[in-house]
Amino acid sequence: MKDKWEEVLKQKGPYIWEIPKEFRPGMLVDGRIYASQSLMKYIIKDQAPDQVANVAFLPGIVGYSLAMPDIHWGYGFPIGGVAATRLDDGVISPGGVGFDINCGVRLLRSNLKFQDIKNKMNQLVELLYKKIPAGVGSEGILKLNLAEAKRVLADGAQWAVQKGLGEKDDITYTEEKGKMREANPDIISNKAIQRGASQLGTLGSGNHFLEIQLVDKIYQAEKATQMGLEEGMITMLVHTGSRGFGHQVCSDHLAIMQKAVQRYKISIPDRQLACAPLTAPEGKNYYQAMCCAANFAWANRQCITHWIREVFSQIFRISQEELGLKLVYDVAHNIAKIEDHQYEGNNLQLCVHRKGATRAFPPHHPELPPKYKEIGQPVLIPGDMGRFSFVLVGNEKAMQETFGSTCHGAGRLLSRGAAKREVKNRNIVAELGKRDILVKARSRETLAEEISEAYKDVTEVVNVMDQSGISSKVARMRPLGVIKG
Amino acid sequence: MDKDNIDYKIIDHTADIGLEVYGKSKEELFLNAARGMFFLITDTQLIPARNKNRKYYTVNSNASNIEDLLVAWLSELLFIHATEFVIFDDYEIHSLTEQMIKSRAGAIKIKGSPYQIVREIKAITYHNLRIFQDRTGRWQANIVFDI
Repeated sequence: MKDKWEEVLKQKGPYIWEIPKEFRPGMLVDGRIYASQSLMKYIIKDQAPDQVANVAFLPGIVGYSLAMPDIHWGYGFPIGGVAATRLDDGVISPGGVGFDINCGVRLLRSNLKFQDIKNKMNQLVELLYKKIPAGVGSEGILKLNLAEAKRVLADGAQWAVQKGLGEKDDITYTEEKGKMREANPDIISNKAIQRGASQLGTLGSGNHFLEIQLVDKIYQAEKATQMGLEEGMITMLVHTGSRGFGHQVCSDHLAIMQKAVQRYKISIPDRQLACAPLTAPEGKNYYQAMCCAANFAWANRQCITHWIREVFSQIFRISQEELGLKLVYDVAHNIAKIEDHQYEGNNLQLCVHRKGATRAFPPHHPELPPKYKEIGQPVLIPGDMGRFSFVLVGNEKAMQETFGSTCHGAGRLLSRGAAKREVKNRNIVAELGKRDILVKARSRETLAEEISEAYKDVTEVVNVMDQSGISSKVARMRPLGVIKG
Repeated sequence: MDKDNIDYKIIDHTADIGLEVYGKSKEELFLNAARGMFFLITDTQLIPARNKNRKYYTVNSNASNIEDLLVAWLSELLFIHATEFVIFDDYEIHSLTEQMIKSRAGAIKIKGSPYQIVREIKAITYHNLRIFQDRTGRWQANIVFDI
């Protein structure tokens, strides 16, 4: 396997590797992976490059089948994959979004410093853990009836803010203002609604987390200031998605897509890439349903944000104003979006699939809120629980090369089984405690599966995107407290 | 159901988890796939066969071929698990063709039971999905779960 890739992959720049479309008959475009030499050694170890090649089969794909440096073996698309398809003759693939639709990240800044928080870490972590349901099958405090559930699906984070679970600015600083307008709750299955109804405002399990962090490094002071960030500041990072609602939407539509592939005579090398033309009813319905799930995820992160603010208020006994827990930004990293792009000198509307990839729009992009017009879109990159997370900004080069996309995280290195074998009898909580990271998790399995060693070094991943000019580093945070499902 | 025939193994996958499931018949293959899936979700603790708290559900699925049928049936079990907060641990297949399964499955409420949930399965994927018979006639299914 390794030898095969060493021969196939053509290095086109310090951080660019291509899989020529001649590699596999049926590829419509070349594959392109952004990675350093040392990351490439990991990437070729599993089936991720094969999956980059497979994505190149999707009808209507434009440019390249792209992969970011956090790429790893997924199902259908690689995780870290980006594919843009034409609206008139291209397809949309639920596999290019994944089951956790609009899994994403949001970052809150604060007026607190390490001194303010260091003696209250236990209290904070305990209360956050208590207040925000986490773990497998976690049920939320909010119970939605059908009519209310449909409003969540239609209005996303805006529903939550209207309900008093947030501030107006939270909407301004959320991608798409927390609401995909094309959402159509009337086409959602009862099953999806049933599965999602009790899970709004829950963190879930796996790699989802809440993190209390310290900004420990600033790379671009002016941009950081514009985002309200400075060295020594306490921040909160929220990583979760659309929970069971999104999983069911994806499952429902994947079954429909299996038939659509035959109906429209689409040739794909992996059934998980099942897709339908964007102009066909199956494609349109999936997009509208996916938008509902994206909205559910934004409402979910918004509810959690509100409870985080309540917890901080309760512990510090100061006003929200004084706490200054303001949203820096909220990004989706599992989503498909209809966007305007320039390709080969033409203005095109494209469906950009980001499967484990983050939108990274440059300065002056019309989608940006006024505060970020001059600096570009904030990009939030969570690392593993023992290392760093990063704030980047999108650059013009992202529009030229990656359809306005960059990486989304560290990317797994070890399978969950291998991570657990690595852990054996180690006490992960104690190990992290020695490094001043307080961890609370519902499941020992999750902790074992999520150890630092299971992930690539996020710094190396982020540096590839920074040095490629796609998105550049603004700030780095290190974890102080981690809450996991 | 004869527990001696339980036959599956866990396959490592970088981001997710896979199962290789075996069965002397298609029925046994489906049963072992369901057992394997709930083994991934919970610990292995088994509740005695006779348990008055076990609730039975009729679980019927249709699909256009045997692979899709397995995904549809497992997805249905996963849906009931996620919405009723139960663990399935007893299955009876009444009829099984390439395109249709009729079954009855017994489940225990998680709350108050000895079952501990260790992992959330988001969905059953179609990635590398295969059902085939080997040279000895034994059935095998390869399934990747999104976790």
